[in-house]
Amino acid sequence: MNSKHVLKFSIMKKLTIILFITAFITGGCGKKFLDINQNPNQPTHVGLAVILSAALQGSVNDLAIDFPSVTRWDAYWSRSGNYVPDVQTEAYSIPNNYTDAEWTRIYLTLNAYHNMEIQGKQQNLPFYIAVAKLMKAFHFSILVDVYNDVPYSKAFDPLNSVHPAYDKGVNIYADLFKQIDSAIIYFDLAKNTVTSQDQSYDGVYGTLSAGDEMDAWIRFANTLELKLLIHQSQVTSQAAFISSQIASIVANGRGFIGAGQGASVNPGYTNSTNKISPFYGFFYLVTAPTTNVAYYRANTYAVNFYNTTNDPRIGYFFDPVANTSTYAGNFDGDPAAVPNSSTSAIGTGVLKGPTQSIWLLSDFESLFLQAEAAQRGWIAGSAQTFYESAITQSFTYLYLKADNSTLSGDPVADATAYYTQGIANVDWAASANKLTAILTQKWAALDGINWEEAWTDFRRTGIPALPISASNTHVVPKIPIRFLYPQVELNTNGSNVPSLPANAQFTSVIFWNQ
Amino acid sequence: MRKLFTLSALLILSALAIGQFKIITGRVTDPVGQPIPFSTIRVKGTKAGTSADADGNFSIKAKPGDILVISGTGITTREVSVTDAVTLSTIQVTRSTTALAEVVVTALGVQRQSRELGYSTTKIINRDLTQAKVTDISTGLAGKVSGLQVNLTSNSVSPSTRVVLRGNRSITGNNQALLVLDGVAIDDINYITKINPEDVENVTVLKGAVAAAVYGSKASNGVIVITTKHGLRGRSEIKVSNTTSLERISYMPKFQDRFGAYGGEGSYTSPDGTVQYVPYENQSYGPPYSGALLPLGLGVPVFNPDGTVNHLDTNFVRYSPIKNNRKDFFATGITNQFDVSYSAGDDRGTFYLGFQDVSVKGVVPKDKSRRDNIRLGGSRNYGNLKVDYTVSYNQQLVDIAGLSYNQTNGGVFSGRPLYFEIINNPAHVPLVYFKDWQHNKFADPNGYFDAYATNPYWTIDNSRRKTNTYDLLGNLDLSYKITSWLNISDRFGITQTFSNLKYTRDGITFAPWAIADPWGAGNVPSSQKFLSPSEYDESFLEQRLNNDLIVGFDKAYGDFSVKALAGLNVAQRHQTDQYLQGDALQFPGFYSISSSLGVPGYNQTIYRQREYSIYEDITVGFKDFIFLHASNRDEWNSVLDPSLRHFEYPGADVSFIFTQAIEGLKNNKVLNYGKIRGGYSHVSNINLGGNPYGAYSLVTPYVTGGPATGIPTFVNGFPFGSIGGYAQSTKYLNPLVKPEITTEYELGLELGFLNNRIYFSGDYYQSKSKNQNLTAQISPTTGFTSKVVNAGLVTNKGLEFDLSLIPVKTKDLTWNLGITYAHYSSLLNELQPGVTELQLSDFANGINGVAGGIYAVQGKAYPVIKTTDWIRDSLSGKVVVDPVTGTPTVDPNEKIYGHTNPDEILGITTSVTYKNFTFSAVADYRSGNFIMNSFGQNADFTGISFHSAENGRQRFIFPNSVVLQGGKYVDNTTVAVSNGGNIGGQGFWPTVYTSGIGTPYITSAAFWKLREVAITYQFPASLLGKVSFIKKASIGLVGRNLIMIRPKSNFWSDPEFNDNSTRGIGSSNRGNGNAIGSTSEYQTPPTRIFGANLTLTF
Repeated sequence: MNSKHVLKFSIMKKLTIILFITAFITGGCGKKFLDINQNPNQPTHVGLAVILSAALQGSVNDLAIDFPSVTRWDAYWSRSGNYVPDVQTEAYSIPNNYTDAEWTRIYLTLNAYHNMEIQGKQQNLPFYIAVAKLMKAFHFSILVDVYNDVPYSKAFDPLNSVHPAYDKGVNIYADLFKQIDSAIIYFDLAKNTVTSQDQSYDGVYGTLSAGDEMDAWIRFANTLELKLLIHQSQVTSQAAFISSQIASIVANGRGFIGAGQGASVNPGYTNSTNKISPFYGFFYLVTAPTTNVAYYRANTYAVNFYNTTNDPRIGYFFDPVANTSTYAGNFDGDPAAVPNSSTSAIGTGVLKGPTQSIWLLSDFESLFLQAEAAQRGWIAGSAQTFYESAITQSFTYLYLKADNSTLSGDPVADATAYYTQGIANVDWAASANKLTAILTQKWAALDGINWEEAWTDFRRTGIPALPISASNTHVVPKIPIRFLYPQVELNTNGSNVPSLPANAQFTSVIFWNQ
Repeated sequence: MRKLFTLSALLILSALAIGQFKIITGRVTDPVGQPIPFSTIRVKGTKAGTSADADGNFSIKAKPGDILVISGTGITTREVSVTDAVTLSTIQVTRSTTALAEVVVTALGVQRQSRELGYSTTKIINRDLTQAKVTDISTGLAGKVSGLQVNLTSNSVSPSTRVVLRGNRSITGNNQALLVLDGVAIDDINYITKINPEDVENVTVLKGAVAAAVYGSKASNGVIVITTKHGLRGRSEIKVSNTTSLERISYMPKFQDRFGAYGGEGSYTSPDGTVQYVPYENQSYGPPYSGALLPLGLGVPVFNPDGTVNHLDTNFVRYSPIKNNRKDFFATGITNQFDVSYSAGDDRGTFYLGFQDVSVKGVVPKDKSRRDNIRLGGSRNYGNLKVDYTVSYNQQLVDIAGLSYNQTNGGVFSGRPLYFEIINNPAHVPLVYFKDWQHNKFADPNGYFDAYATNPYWTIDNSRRKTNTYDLLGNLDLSYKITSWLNISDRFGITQTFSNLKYTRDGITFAPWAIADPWGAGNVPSSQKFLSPSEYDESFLEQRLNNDLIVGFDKAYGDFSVKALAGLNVAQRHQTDQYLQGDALQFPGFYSISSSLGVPGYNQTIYRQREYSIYEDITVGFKDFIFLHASNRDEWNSVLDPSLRHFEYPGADVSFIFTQAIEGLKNNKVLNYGKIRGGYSHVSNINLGGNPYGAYSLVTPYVTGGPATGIPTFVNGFPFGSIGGYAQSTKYLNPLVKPEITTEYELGLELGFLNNRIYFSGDYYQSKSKNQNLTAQISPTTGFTSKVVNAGLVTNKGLEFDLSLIPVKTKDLTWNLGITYAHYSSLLNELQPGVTELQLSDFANGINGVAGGIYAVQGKAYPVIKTTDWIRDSLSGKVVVDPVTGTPTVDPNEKIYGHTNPDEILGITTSVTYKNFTFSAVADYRSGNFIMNSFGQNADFTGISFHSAENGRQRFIFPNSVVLQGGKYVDNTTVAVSNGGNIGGQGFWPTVYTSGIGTPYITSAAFWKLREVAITYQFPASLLGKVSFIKKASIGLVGRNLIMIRPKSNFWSDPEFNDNSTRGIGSSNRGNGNAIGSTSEYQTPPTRIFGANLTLTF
């Protein structure tokens, strides 16, 4: 063989080897070669503790920032004179897509609880089932309060039903009581089995001993039922149901949330991106304030109310105008709104800091609910005591610093001075209409804390008599009583969405709004 | 086994070495040295014969004295006698016709004569591709191929393009063509921007699925096959070329220039209701320009040593519009493109080495990019073994301005785009005066006149996005000719991309006096107070491995020719990506993640996908006039469920050359060539979306904090210390998802007249894509926001015509003219059961956001614009206005307003050569589609929009409006818009027009563009004779995007641009998704490019 052939031969040999390697690889083309589709980035199974912590964060995330325009309809906050007006909010010219984000957020949060309920049942962990049922009822009640009919019984089944049918708001409310009652049974069950459970995280009452923890949750459940009954106060046909349901709550003996027993969440907020307390995060990034700081200003109506009632809480709800010690705002929608240099920003009693806890249900809201229930004769106890305790707890919360433990003054003394000064709807004795006093003070206390509940009270009772916006381009000069169904829902589930008349935001009532 | 194989190999080799015959090797070329491929070489009087390869090379056994007969399609037959020499010199033959014998690189890099093909292809050679010295191949293809739509989606120093063949088929999946580089599939068309156009030998466009069926799932969108230069035998040359071009903004949107600054501040309204000038305002709703000398900004305090304010220093300007004050912000961009290449070849092989350096200075000051590309390609023959290889290295360094620090609600890197901050300035503001923000106290962030904006010069100096990308590519093709008719080859390819993004934005601590907001304006310093330096670092690695083992068969049986191949493909793709984000860094101007405060953001993702396939492809020809071709591919893909991961792609086509078949048509002087063809294919496509390659898309995962897609916002912050939190992904996955199926047929006719002086090719195609992998939006009430489903049907139909003419051909003058035309229709027949619409994207954020977005809607062309309009009278269609305020109201219900893909694209290419001068040009026209210029809402907000000043800022009757009178709508002739006048920021324009209305900003997207013009002068040889070492020399002038003609209504931007990508921080803002049809302030205005070129060949 000459040298040329040797060369050829060695090349041939290399080629042969390459062919064989290829054949080997391809010969291995069995199952294993393609069996590489397991997700290395995200788990497909996790424990219930991490699902619960995420779900609770979902809850407070929703409560902290949902429906911000309601803060302006409630006359708590107003537009800034620095910005082009937001016609949609001020002229009540609500487009369909106005609440797309809220609709999606709330149902995603609900799905986290729904998933937790399924997993809890599969693993026979009653605590998780109980929290899931309770929190689902909590968020569904908000959906009904805003949209009336929503998908409920057919929701959360993406495999079989991507077009969930709608349930009537009134029927959903009725079922929520059953769900909360069931949750109470599971909480009691958890009390007996808690030691054997994977219960490493309870971001609401987890610091209590196991028995106290379940009692605390049941108090929360009782209070939520009371809240939903109060929402139906004007529905005369519900009177019998209300009294029987009150009786069953009283029968379980755990009572309602009292002073210092409010439900709040704080998984450990810190001043890092995405880890800031969600309400604070609406106004501040780690690196700089967001435009919302400048966008939302005090409302003149609220400023006037606190000023004329000599309410020291004004300095907590609002900041003084720059370089002054006085407070001022704009009437929302005022075409001549003054710039921020002449108005008050959101105050440090509400916007405390990056680590602040977020209320699921505050003790002062619960006490106002009990005051109303007592005043209406639904529950035993002194309406005045609940009322004054509620005001005191409101002061206590507002005076609390961002570290959640130290106070900036003496809230009890200030509260007492406040509600004993002989002014109507402040001082119980000086108030001709006690319900007006309770609802006025409830509105005053929920400023920047629970604007949805204040809006519900206003829609239900007309108290206090909130002003319509000062805009000159109203669609209809009336504070909206609901939101329209979101565009995202019309796009994806349009055939099931109940049709609303034109300008439904002024006319289409929530079932309890009669 | 191995022993047996080597033994038989030995036997074959020894057999070749013995006998009285010699192995004669040679090469067939045309008179100018271009190889003639696939000619038949026979020994006269015997049955012995062979055919030349694609480069014209052949070897044949013959004795001295034998006569070799060289024949073939398109050449005149020639006889050559064999001498004693083993190697014949090049055998020159003359071409009888030109186009007929053209060699086309088809699927899998297989070379076929165009006459054999039963489907539509277009080949673009290097000269046509690079005539205007494009730096990006896709740009160089625009207008030159019927059925190919290339969109330049934005301007930048690293522009991005979208390349689609025959329209969109997949609703939410990828519709961009597959790139095949030297026979190796690269499934990311964006890789095309990394190839030096000068290195390209030719580009073949396989338009439809019929042509591409054998590539399987990746090729349902057509294929762009790029063959790079590997050197030519017998020629050795060095080519050096330099092109320098200048780039300038060509069209700005139409603005008003009558009114200056005012934004609606109550205290600036006179008692009579007229508005006063506001010196710090960003909105142009102020009084008419008067020419007076007025302050700009309210001034910067000068302090006494004790800290008290001594006085205010104020900057005065003339209150009159400055022509081009916004345009003058932009610089003249400079691109310098330097190329050098060396090409050589001898009997044993060929060699090519190319180097290119492209450095670009952008029209946005300080934007720059640099791309260096080195490519080595060649081949080597070892007898029957041929080794072909390519190695290339590419690096691209891009440095562009990021977003401003203003309005950062969405996170640290979510400020406003630079262009918005530029156009925000009223017409009387001399923007260029604010360049030196470091030393000019009126330009620094405290003293900047505009209370609500970032000085764009600050942004370009302090907010930078630097992306460095490094690509390495290697291809090795070993081909062994077992016998003259059997060939085995193995082609291995690897591409590796590493990229690194560093996005940095400096911090600011605003001065206490500025934070105190002395103007009472609610200025940026008082809102922002401080700003921490921030950085984002992302590194990305992707590796693609591909191996094809192919056995090729090529033999003639009498009148029948059989060309067949069978192959095995194995491919793997893999990527990893990780980032760190430090929102609050400790030191100004110092960007190290280690100096970050708090917990940095972080994430890592890894994706891997594998597949293997076997495929067969056969072409049977009869008497050189009818060719039947069939192919099939079986593919197994790792991303699907094991029970569903195998699928097939059959395809067949036929080519019939009737001028050859029918006796009466043969040798016709007028119609010299005629062919009818037709093909059918059935291809599948996996378009799972979301994850790269569709990997891990079968089981809904749990997600936690990080940037993953489909993450509910409430898990963003986890973990909090030791508390973890997980929720289900918002995308519900379907474990039994199947691939989508596209069936396509096409019919074509090709005609050559007058010896191909006139050449026509026409096609009709229809494709149906069904069972699509839709990432469907589902109702959030299901607990999820999207779900992967198999649903939907899209029908695409189209006509394509290519006409090439040589109207004039004399000794001194040649005129070539090419016309390409394509007509498309893309219809969405079905979406998913119970759902008729799917939103593909939203519009870029205006003040309240333009309502709606780009949608897929059942029964409509795909995709369409859906947005809001005024409430109209259903009878007359006129706008209903309020009987008191004269103001229209926005209808909250979104409706459909036009589709966004053009119905037709016409391209014209021409070149005229007169003696040593060559003039060439490319123009194209597109029409039938609409575009949403969502930028318009910002223009109405700032008061710079042209229409907002048309009524002189006075009350006016809303055009074509009706009012309700006595229960009916009557034409409105009396009720004027109540606040349409000069009530500034509270007035009609900035409020009513920013309430989400979309229709005022929709215009026709039609245009004519003169894309390329080039004039080249080739120095005559007589002149060069004096410098003998220079073989060729030419100089040229090139221009690109010189003229754009749009309908008058579209005075916004280039309607070819597109804004549909996520505008997030890690996004490269490519704008090449399916949801085309909107532009925004995220794109700078279109540009025009002029350049000069010198090329020398040694």
